[in-house]
Amino acid sequence: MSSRTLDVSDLPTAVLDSRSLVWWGTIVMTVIEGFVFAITVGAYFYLRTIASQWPPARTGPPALTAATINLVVLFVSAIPAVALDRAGLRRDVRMCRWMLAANLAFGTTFLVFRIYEFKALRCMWNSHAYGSITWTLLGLHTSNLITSLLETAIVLAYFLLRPVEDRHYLDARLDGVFWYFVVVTWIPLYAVVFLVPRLH
Amino acid sequence: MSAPAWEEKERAELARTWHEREGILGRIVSVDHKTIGRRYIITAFGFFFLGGIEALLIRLQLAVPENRILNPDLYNQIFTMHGTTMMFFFAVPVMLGLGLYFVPLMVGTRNIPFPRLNAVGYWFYLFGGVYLYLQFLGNGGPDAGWFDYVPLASSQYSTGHRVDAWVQIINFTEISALIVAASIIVTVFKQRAPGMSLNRIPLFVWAMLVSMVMVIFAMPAVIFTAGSLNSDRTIGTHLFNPAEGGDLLLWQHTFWFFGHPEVYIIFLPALGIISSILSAFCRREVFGYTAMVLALVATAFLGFSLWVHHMFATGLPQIGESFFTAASLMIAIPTGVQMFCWVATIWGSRPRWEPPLLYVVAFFLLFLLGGMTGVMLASVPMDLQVHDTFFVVGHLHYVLIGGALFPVLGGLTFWFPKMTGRMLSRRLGFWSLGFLFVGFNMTFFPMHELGFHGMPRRVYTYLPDKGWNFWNLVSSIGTVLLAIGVVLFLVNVLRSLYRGARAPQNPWGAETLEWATESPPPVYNFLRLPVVASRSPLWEGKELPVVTGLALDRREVLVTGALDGAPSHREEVPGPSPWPFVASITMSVGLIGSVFNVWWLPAGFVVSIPPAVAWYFTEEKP
Repeated sequence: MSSRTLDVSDLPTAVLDSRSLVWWGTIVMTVIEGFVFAITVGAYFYLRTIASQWPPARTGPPALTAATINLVVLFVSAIPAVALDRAGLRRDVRMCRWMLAANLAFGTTFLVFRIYEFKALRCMWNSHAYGSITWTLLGLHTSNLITSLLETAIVLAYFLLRPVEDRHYLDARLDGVFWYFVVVTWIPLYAVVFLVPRLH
Repeated sequence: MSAPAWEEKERAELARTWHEREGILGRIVSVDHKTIGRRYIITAFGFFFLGGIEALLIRLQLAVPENRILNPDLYNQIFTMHGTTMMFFFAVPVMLGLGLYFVPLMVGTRNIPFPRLNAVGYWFYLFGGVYLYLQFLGNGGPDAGWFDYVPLASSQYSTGHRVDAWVQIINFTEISALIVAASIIVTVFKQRAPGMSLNRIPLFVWAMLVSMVMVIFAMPAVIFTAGSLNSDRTIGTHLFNPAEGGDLLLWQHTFWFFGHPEVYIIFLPALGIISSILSAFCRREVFGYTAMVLALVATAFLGFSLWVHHMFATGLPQIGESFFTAASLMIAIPTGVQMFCWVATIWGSRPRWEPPLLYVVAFFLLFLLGGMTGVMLASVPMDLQVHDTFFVVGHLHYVLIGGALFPVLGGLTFWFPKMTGRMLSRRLGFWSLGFLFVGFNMTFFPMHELGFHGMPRRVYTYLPDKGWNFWNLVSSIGTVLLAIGVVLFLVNVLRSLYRGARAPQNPWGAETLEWATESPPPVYNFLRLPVVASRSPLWEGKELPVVTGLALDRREVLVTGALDGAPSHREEVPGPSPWPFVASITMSVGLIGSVFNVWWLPAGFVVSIPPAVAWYFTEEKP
């Protein structure tokens, strides 16, 4: 009998790393989101190739101040994300709470500056194709940002209100991982939206 | 012979833990992969019948010249609805359903990893389809073709909400496909039975995996495309408006970057079904496992580099067209490899000529023809000659019906005993296949000839002196036979559900794990998860080793290593919940409302937050 069975009762019932199912799900989701960005960037360069002027002369290149400040905010926000990730791994409930809150604060700050970034484009989505595609890029990233903020808020609420189990530490870590994605995607998108229009 | 005491006890406990409630409410909260997979299949066939009725109306209208049964406007709506229904609401979802039902069984696990999310996927699919048909009934069916080229689909030339409806239902179907893709990919990589290393996965599972990876990379293109057309039409962006720097061909590029892989998303699972049926009825492993897998992967890669062959008539640079001709021709290589492997499997074996195997033979003949006309169309001069004629209509139906519908019907005949515990009638099976095969060829073969004689697609009628009368009539008569075949299949299914012979666990003597449990499988799939040591575990000639020590009192699955299938840990997956259903409704209302007023979209998002919170907070409760 014993040679015909495989006993798994000694295996752990929760892992907080890349072996877990939710981790894989999160990665698949970021691949999908990443590819939406890639296609949109492709469309941006396609439109740029056929345009006689990019951006159109009446609009001119976007202002850099707000976007560059925001880039710095985003870089700094990676610090609480890393701390959150590690606190989740250590199952440190207090630290998780603080870092979730810090994440929320940084994300909200970023969102506020985002408004000025839209203004810095110096055109509307319905001004011309250049306006449409840059608003699309910025809009897509903003929707990721809002999703991430909501996720953070829900996980934080859970950490404050309910007894935290292993699964929730994993969620806290994944919240940090998704924030990495928001940060990492913004670097090329910043270059495309704010720097490429200055190339000639 | 009564079961040992431990078995009785474990069965009772598992049945309690994985229990799915009865009644309407129970159905709404269900998260079982078999329930949801079955729903996808049944709903897809519901849409298949609607799309079929539209096809019959099209053929009725075209049976004789200058027919006046349908007016041009209704005709436009009907052929658009036919294409949209068959592609987005039948062909893809039926494959998703088969994958959801059988992949977890074939890899030997209890449920998919994200069951609640998966419930959302189904509701989105259903709500999207219902909405599309409500629009159609209110004379608001989309009417710019299933690929909605701009500028025809732009607000300037398509006023009203017809095209907006099309754009929204695309969102519904893409979300559902992405959810299923994520579920199946993670199931295949992380929930395989111990010992099932990557080189022991059944070919159907490989085919589903590759197809779902294609979903992940193809759907983002249609998210962009449909979203952009939506914003062009509703809030005045100019992505497809040349007057303001937009571009018409951008639509075709991004649509076909999704649209061509879509064909392979439908086709690859069909190839997997073929392999499953062949090995069972030839009683041997499919020849050339490694070559088969590599061919699937190669098809997926090449499938992303052919989209421009839909655009040969748009005046793109010739050098670019040559590249896409080469890529389009190359795709015949992996397909050819698979064909030869299948022939080699049959060669020298003693095949049992049951209905499922005959479906496979029909597939060989029809898909070969469709593939050949595909190679013809890959050549630019030929393509320019027959572009937008019935030749293309003939080709695509040979590929999609021959290459996907026949395998699906064969697969359902093959797996029906597993899904229902009943056998289908053999005699009715032969008859329905006969009608389908003859009817299909009579309907679609003449279309090639009509195309050569210059009959364009998407015309609601034609003049009597064009020389198209005879073949159009033949084609329309063929549709009747085809419809009889479909009805016979349906009759067979409905009759056998109640009066079919009881199916044993493994009626065909097949080799994969779905046959290692009862027919139909219990809600927890396997009493004890199997351990495998080969590609054909049920042909080892001895009882399968099993896993013990998995918790019985919570919904636990065994997670294994992505490459070697070695046990890694145990993980609990969420149970039934009403919140996915509620969230699906709030989000659907937002999406559908945005057809009429764009503010419904953010409103739908905001009202979806409370169900999302409730969902997360109740995750640990069964």
